[in-house]
Amino acid sequence: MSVPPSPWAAVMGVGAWLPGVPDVRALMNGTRRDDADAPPPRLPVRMRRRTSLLIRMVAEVAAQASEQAGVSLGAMPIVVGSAYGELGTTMEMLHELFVERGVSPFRFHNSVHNTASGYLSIAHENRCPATSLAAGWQTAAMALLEAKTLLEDRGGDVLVVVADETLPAALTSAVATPVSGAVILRALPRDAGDTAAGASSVDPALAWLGDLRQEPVVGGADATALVERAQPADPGAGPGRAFLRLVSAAAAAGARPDEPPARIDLTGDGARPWSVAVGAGSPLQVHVGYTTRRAP
Amino acid sequence: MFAPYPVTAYSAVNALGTTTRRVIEALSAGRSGLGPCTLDLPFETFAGELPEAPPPLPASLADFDSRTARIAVAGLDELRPAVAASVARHGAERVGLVVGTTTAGLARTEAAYQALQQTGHVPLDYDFHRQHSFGGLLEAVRRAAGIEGPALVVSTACSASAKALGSARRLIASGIVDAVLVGGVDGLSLTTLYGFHSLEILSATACRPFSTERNGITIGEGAAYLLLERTGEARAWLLGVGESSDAYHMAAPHPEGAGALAAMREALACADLSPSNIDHINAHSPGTRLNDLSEGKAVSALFGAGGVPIASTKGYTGHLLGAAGATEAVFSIVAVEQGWIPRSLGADPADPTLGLDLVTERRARSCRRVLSNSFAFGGSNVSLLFGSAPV
Repeated sequence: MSVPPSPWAAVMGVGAWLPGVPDVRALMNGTRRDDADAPPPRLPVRMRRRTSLLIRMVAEVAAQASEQAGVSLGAMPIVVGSAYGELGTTMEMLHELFVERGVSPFRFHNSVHNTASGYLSIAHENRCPATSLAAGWQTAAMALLEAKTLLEDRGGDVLVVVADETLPAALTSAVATPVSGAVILRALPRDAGDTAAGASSVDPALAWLGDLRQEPVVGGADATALVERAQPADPGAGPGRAFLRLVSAAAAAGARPDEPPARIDLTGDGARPWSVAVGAGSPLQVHVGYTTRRAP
Repeated sequence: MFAPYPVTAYSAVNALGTTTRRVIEALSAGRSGLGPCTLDLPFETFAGELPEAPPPLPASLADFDSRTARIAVAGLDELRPAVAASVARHGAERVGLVVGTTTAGLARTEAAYQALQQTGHVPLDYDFHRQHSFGGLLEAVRRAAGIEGPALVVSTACSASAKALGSARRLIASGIVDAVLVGGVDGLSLTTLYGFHSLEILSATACRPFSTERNGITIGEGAAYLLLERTGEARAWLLGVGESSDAYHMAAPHPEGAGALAAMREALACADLSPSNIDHINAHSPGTRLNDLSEGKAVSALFGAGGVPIASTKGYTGHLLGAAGATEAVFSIVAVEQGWIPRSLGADPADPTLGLDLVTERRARSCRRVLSNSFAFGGSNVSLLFGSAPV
């Protein structure tokens, strides 16, 4: 890279869960665990009843990230990105509506897109802003962008989760397996003096993120397309998988601090992709003077 | 540091009318848009349906068809010149799009699911990705608006399009874009009507927020847009955005209004203003007892008993769900621009135990600064602060 990648956040913790892949270690090793068919219970007992897979995945990967970061989930803004939201609950509700001619009140209020972020907020008594967003193929990129602007606005930490459930076979021929990933990001001190002034320490961070950007327009308007008629048959595509590339890159940087920075595609289908730089080493050093070994 | 930005253009379509001018005229005249719901339902209810069906999508967007997409694109019509000017001024890649919605194309999926039950297959022209998904609705609006910058849907239930203004402001402050088209849109769907009915908070007649005769909520449909720019000729300024979570319950507001209070306090703090600087609150209240008590307590705690003229406009439009925040932001800006507060339709006789200055008759009043509240399932609270000048 000829241009410094302008670090804007430290990655303090990561999490991942998908069927057979219960954590980031399994994700990195490429190993499958047949016993990992459901996320372990992470919510308080009183909140576990009839929780959707999306709620349970979000709770699980958020908990993994917070354990690694060594911070509580009680005092940071929450950003949940999901292209489809509470799809399983929505399908159950449609069945109730057209077969049973009634909708359960519990299912109804748990069908909103911000159910998982609401559960996290309640479970951790987190009264910070929580948001829930969707942007088709660019859901992972928009979740990260939302987190970046929150960090610039408020400083501190932000939890970002990107997750989606299985697509309903009754309504689409496209296939996607459940997937979830999380990162806890920390704002970088603006200058060395900030640390003395009480800014949170970014050491030890797993990695730093820099230069979140979208490729310029080359084709017509459709080049930005947020949805396609059908997703590719490859269930490994989609925003959840794109976000796991970021999770993997941050974990790899934490494990191998001599690796050069990598640029991670966050979009997943190649249409005007958003990408972010992920680097190893102290983000503070890179940020202050672009002086570490790795940063150009 | 909160930098205020100008709202340079806005539009709203809902049960009050299919143009912004008609909507504001009805609001000023105190005329409700609510009526008996025309959907086939096994229970009595009112709804705020558009007075005319939204026109079909243009051929280039036909694959994205859903009632919500039609409302979204129709609602954008009036704002096209302003959006085009913004795109020309800043470049299409420097203009973002943030849309608040709760249902996206759910009504379309309801019809497809019903067909599936009856015939064994979904209609041939049903397209899950383009018509059901949040990304599909977003893409339809993005193409209709000619925007190439970052685009996202915020879906935090009934606070969604108020939260969208918060995201939009941060995108500009961050330097990523120079303008953001903020939208809110929702169309009537069976699911929401059945759902609120099952929660036993759907009114059989027009909703009566803040009244002793309150009887639950009325669901409406519509779209509203605000063009927020880094610089430009202001209709009003976005002076503050307060966001909080109740961390209390998925479907019930905090009984003391703690999250609502935190959101209003943060909105004031953005502009370094005190409660005495606020001339009017456009309330969230959709007409449930729990919400009236919660919001009433929060407002009383901040402003003192009877401290600020407050009105809910849901008696005009119904509860627009994901479109409520943007629609009520437009009404708040109208109060700033035109110097009147709409009467809180249905509030008379007002609940005296709330201790609020409820505006039961249209009131002429110079509104230099107005708060607009939006609260939602999941305990999501937003308070927006608009003003006539950037201070």
